Amino acid sequence: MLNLLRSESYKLLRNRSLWLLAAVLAASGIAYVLMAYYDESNGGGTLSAVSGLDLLAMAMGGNNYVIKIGLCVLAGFFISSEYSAGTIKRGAASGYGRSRFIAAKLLVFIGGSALVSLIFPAVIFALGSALMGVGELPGGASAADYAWRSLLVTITLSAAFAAVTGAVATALTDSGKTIGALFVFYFFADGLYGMIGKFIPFVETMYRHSIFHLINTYADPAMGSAQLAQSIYVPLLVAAAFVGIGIAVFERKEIR
Amino acid sequence: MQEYVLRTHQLTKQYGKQIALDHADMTVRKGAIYGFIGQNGAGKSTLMKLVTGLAFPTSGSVELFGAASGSELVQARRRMGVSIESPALYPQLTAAENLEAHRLQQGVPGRDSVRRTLELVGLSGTGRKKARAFSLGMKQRLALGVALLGQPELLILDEPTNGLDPMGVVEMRELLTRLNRESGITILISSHILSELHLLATHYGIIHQGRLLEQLTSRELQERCRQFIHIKVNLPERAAVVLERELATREFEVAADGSIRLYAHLDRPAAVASALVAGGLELEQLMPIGEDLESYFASRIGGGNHA
Repeated sequence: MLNLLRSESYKLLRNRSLWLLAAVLAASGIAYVLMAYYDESNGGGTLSAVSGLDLLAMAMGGNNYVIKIGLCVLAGFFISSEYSAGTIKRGAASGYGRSRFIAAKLLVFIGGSALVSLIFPAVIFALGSALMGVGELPGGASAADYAWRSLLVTITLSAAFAAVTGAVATALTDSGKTIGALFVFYFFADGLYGMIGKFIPFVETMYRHSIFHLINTYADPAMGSAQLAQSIYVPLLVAAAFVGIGIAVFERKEIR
Repeated sequence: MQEYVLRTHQLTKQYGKQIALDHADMTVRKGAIYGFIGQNGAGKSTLMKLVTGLAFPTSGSVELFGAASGSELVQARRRMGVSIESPALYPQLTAAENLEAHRLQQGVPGRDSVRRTLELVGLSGTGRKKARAFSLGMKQRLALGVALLGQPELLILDEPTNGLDPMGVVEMRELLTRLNRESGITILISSHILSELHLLATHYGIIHQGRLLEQLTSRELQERCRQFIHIKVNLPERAAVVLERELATREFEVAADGSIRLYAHLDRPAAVASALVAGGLELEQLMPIGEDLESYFASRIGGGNHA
């Protein structure tokens, strides 16, 4: 398994789409902070009303799209492209069990996705705090707590979305289909849950505990410990479930 | 006692109503170069995919290095190197990086193995060039390198000479022969260039419409390929009379271009030449010829000309 993880990590770190995505996110984060800094009425500087924590909260909201869109693209190029290039045959015939092979690929993809998802909020928080100060949270809550909690929840939610994306990419095999299908699903999931929930209350309840709802509220500075716990264990359970689904799909898949 | 590297037992694969492979019993002996011959769509790649675990059999079984099922069969696949259909490479990686990714996966110790493999397949000068910029021939050689990296005991190569120039074909053939003779690697190779297989294979399997029609050694094939004397003279009709009267045989055919195929007196070409000249004919060509693999293959599958 270690050999498979090393090989997959080697390939991911040489995947151009990963570095392009990382560079775009880092550049966007820097631009976002600089615009906020220079856009202030007093000409910017440490007297600015906007702090690193404020920017982090805003970045978390925007990162919602990074987690959904960015990971779809990454999955398209990291997982689906294995089918189009035929390299999946090498892996499947490598003498490792199929489950181990695809598990290693999905785990590395999830790890890479989690790191990519941290770039935007981390850059904004770090640069924003350096230029405008860390700031304070309402009610005297700990800034450090909020920062680590935000990054932790970003990791768990991005892991969950990456696992869903990875499982779909494994099933669909085509990068275009993967990116397209997931774009549509992720963007309409909230509305779809809401619409069905009007008729079936259970769906409404399910939605409130789903990763689609959690990602809409994960930047809330007033998040209680119960919601924090839920934002950690639900995504992790979803990630585990979809890694399992990805394995089950790949175990039965004929590779053409 | 013969040692078998690969055996299939009544191996069958059905896609919907179409039978891609029909109860195939293939045996590949250790140390053999097994040439797998068949037309496009005959079932060659299907069988290779079943052996390598890319597809699942409808019925029947695969036995690889004595392992026939479960995790033993999966682990036995570590002892083989595979290149099926188009060369499977990471296009954004260089040749060395492609090999390194595979080396890490297979747990092959020492990065020097990458350099040695690049030299072996003649790609050590490709530097930072990405695989997507390679010619098809270079991709074929890199795919072979990947298949060889784990020092396999069995190489499964599907049409490995596709896209190679004539020199590349010769180099590939020499490399495979050397690997077989010096390292004892058993090779299962399919190709539509039958003359290439003829120069390489020690054993043959002929497949047609999903059915493995025949398996034979190169010696058996030589015996079965029909021998004849090719004759070209100025007056073919008269030559036919001479052959009948002077050599007392009707075992010949006159082709549309006037050339004659004589299937008798194969061990007496000088006597045939003397009889024709004595009969007043101008002898333009006379040479013993054996029916080639393509002709034999065509006759086995019922008249097709292309594998």
